This record gives sequence, C-alpha cells and structure tokens, in this order.
Amino acid sequence: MEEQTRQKKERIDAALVKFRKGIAELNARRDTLVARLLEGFQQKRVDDIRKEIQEL
Amino acid sequence: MSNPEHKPTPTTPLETASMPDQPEQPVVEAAPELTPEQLEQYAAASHAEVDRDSAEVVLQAEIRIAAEAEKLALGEEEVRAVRAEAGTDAELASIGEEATRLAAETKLAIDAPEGAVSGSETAGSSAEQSPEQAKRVEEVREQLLRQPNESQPVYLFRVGKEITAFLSTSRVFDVNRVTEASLSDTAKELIGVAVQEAGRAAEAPIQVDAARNEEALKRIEGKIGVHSVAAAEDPHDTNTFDKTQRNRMLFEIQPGRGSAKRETYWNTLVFAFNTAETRALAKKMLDGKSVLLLGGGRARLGEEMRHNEITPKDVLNADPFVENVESGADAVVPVSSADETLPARLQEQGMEQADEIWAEFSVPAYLDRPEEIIGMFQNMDTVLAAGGTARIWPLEVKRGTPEEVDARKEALQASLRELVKMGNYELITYEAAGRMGITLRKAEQQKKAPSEPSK
Repeated sequence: MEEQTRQKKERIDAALVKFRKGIAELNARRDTLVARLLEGFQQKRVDDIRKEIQEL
Repeated sequence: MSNPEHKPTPTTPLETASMPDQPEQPVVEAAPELTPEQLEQYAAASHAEVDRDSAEVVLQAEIRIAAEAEKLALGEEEVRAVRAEAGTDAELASIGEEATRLAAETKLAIDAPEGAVSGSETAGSSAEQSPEQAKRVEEVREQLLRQPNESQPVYLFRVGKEITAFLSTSRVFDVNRVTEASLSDTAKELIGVAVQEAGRAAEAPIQVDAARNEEALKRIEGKIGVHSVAAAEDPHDTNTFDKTQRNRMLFEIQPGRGSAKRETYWNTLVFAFNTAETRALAKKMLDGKSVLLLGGGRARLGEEMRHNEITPKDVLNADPFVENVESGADAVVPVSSADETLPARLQEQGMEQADEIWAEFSVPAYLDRPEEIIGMFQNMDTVLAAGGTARIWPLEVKRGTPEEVDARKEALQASLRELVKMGNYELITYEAAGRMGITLRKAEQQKKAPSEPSK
C-alpha cells in the first residue's frame, strides 16, 4: 500500500513537472505574441498622429 | 544546454515588457511518505493548480492587451484591426487550445490508475494504440501516398500537415517544439514513409502547371504579411540587427532561446519534422549542390551540414549587414540580395548558379523600396539554376505607412506574376509556424509563354 502511494505520488509529480514546463513554454509564446501586438498598437498610434499632423 | 523553462530572450524593448510573473509554484517534493488521504488531497490540489494555470495563459494576454489599448486610447475597431493584421486571435486561440489539452492530459495522468503510463509518453505508439488510434494511423498512412504529379515540396508540405494533425489529436503537440527524441515510434514510422515517398517525388521532373500557378497567385493575394519587427530594426546598425534572430540553425531547434529559435531553416522551408530519416533526405537533396542564403545573418549551416555528413558544393550567405564574420560561419558575400551586382559578386566567390536559394526570415521582409523587392526576385531568377528551388519564408513585407506597405506588397506580387509568366516556374504556397511561405521551382527547360516577347 505504501509503495503504491509512493508510486502514485511520483506519477503526479512527474505529470506536474511536465505540465509546468509546457505552461512555461506556452506563456513564453504568449508573451512574444502579445509583445508583437503591442508593437502594432504603438505603430498604429504613430500612424494616427502622423495622419493628424498631415491634416493640420 | 539552455533551460527550456526560461523565457525567450527579449529582442525588442516591448518584448522585455512581458507578463507579470506567475505566482511562485510549490516545489515538487521528493516523494515524502503520504497517507492515502493526503495523497487524495495532493491530487485535488494538483488539479486546482492545473485548472488555474492553464486558464491564466490566455486571460493574462487579454488583460495586458486591454490595458495597453486603454493606455494608448485605441478604440475597439482599431484594436480589432491591429489584432487581425497581426494574426493575434488565431495564434492566441491556438495557445489556449494547447493549454486546455495540456491541462486535460495532465489531469488524466494525475487520475490514472496504478501501473498506467502518462498518455503523452505513449500517444501514437503502436504498442499502446487503441482501435481508434490504429484506425487513425491507417487513415494517415493512406494520405501519405503521393498524388499523381505531386511535386516534392507540395508533397512534403501536405504530409507534414497530415502528420502534425494526427499528432495533435493524440496529445499536446506543437510541431515547432517537438524534438526527435520525443516523437513516438508511430510518428517516426509515418515520417519515414513520407521521406521515402518524397525521395521518389524528387526523381519526377518539374512540371509547370499554369492553372496551379494562378491558384497560388490568388492565394497569395491579400495574404502577404507585414513584418513589424523589421520596421523597428535598423539593418545598417549591426549591433541592433544582431539582436534579432540571426543565427537560426538548419535542423536543430533551440528551446528556451525565443520562439524564433524554434524555427529552423528545415522546418520553415522544407519539412515540419527533423529525424534521422529527414536528415538523410536532406543529404540526398543537398549533396553536391550550391546553396545560397539571402540575409543569412550569422548562419553556420555549412558547419551543421558537415556535422550531419551532408556535403554541399558550397554555401554562401549574401548579407550586407554582417560584420566580424565568425570562424565556422557560412562565407559571407557582403551584398544585398536586391543589388544588381549580386550575380557577379557570387561568381567572384565561385558560385555560378545556386541550386537552392533560401530566404529564411530575411528578404523581402527587410527590404525598404519596392524596386529592391523587384530587384531581389530578378536576381533570384538570374542566380537560380535550372532544376533549382528557391524557398522564401515568411512571405512578408516591411511595415511602414499604409501607402508604403501597399507599394511593397504590389512589388512582391508583380515580381511573382512576372516569374510565373515566364512559364518555367512552379509556384507553391504553404504555411509554417503560422506564416505563409513560398517555394519556386525552376524547370530544366525554359518554356516561354507564347504571348511573351523573347528577350
């Protein structure tokens, strides 16, 4: 019984390690994606300001 | 070796502004003695952690995007437009789906009965296949048969997608993160079949099909991306330019070194997977061939090829922005791919023509003027040997004002139309790492279209 419990605990730990690694990679992908989008936001802002200046 | 759990190295100021750190997670203890009741509580707490962290992945992105949009006073319409242009929604949805799959798989592993093995370790393995999985494998195997007249690149892109789809249904899977060691036996077997078929496809002559080329041109229309990072970089400043991903490898992904380092020349230009068999295919494709990189940065592809016993005739890198070329790096010809002297400069280095031309995250995305884009494609036509292949990924132009972007896109499309009109190119579109790429194969015989005046 103790051995079974130990094995099950080990399996949960292994699954969690794998999960955390996967989530860390997904978070890194997300951060890169969001950073790219925010650059787009800033560029949009710059384009708008440029347009406003031209219209003045 | 780098730690795969590390975040990618930021390459722009905004990339440094990443998400708030996740709450510190409990350290996994070294299997202390637990009572069955404690074990149950531990499993329940693990479920809760999995649910929370997987949900946070997309949630944190939306919170950050909304905060930034508010700060910059962008309206809903504007946000929607920028998101659409950047392809954010599809990519974020894909990340969310992966998080959900990862969570489901982890919870299954947590609840698995004694003696069970984690699904992700055996998914796709023939020894552990359920009847449904076995049926699916058979279906995929049928799809691996090469269609009549299907060229090697078309075949490889198609079956790469099929195998990716198969692996994605059976476990958490990201083709840009998979390593050879983590592929199941079944996956490797399917890839092996694909490689054999691709080898046969290589023997078929290049067939130019005007109707298919037209379809490809239509697919490209309106789908040319805009490369936002390119606008932020000054290619004339090598220090700034060096901060971009300039040393991608041929085969090896570099986990933990940014998403771009998971994109390799091979998986973005040729085939999604990298195994011993695909490297053997690369050997067949590249032995004795002249390979030209356009904007290859600090590439060391020749070194990596030698490492894999691939013996190209030569590998040259046409890149005007590389200073202090490192020992072991591919020989640099300091000239722009758009420069009319490119063919002569290559000849000076002993490369009369190239059998393979590779533009991997470089041109046309870094070219400013429409004339440069046109010049680049004209050079490509001059330099590419008959029977050779040019591969460009992603098909993007540099960001700028709407007028500038339109002019660059028009120049790109016009260049492709010109090449197709010549009647000796097969134009293929494909998708890798979420971006469109193109492959141009030049037929052995020049077949001028009747309506075209001869040169």
